[in-house]
Amino acid sequence: MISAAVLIPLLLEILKATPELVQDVENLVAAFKGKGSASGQLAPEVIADLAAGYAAFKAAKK
Amino acid sequence: MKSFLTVLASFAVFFALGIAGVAFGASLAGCSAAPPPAAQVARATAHAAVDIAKDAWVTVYDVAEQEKADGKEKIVPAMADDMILAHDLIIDAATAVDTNWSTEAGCTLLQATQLIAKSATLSSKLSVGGQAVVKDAADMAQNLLGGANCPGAGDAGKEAGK
Repeated sequence: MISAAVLIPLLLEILKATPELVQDVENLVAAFKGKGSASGQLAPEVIADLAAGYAAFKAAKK
Repeated sequence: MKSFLTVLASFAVFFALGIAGVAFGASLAGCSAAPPPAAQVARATAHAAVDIAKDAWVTVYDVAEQEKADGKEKIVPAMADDMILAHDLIIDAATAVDTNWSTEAGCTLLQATQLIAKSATLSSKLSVGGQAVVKDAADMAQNLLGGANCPGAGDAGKEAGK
């Protein structure tokens, strides 16, 4: 059996950390959901990602 | 007394963990909601297909740059026509995702992936993973069309060579 002397400080730490823990979990879930979000525009992102290669191929044609 | 405190502490630990669990469950509540409308699913699928086509394009560009660095300098100019056209087609498809996806946009994306695949054949250094990205992009674009026919399908190379 775990003694109260060990458990109570541990408990107090958990209770102190709980709001942060909850916030961390919420942040994590929000980030996860946002990753596959269908909001936002795709074209600007695609243009940016292809820009360097596009410039290189354009330059190679000259 | 000691035993009482232990029981009390155990209860409080479970309580604290329960709060975290409820918060996590509430955050995930959207996962168990009703499925999204078909239009949103179609947009999400098109988004993914354009994204992987973009990845395939970048993969082929990267390998061309590697070959160029290794002395095979003609590979970038050799790919240029097809890759420039594929670039423009991918952006057209991405714009269609943002505005109004259609079968025509699907054909545009398919043509882009065919051009990328054609360019990829010029490189001998494309990794197995890179080849998979190129193939997946083409397969996904094809699948997105759901069997619909595209005018001039398979002629992408001929168009680009003009």
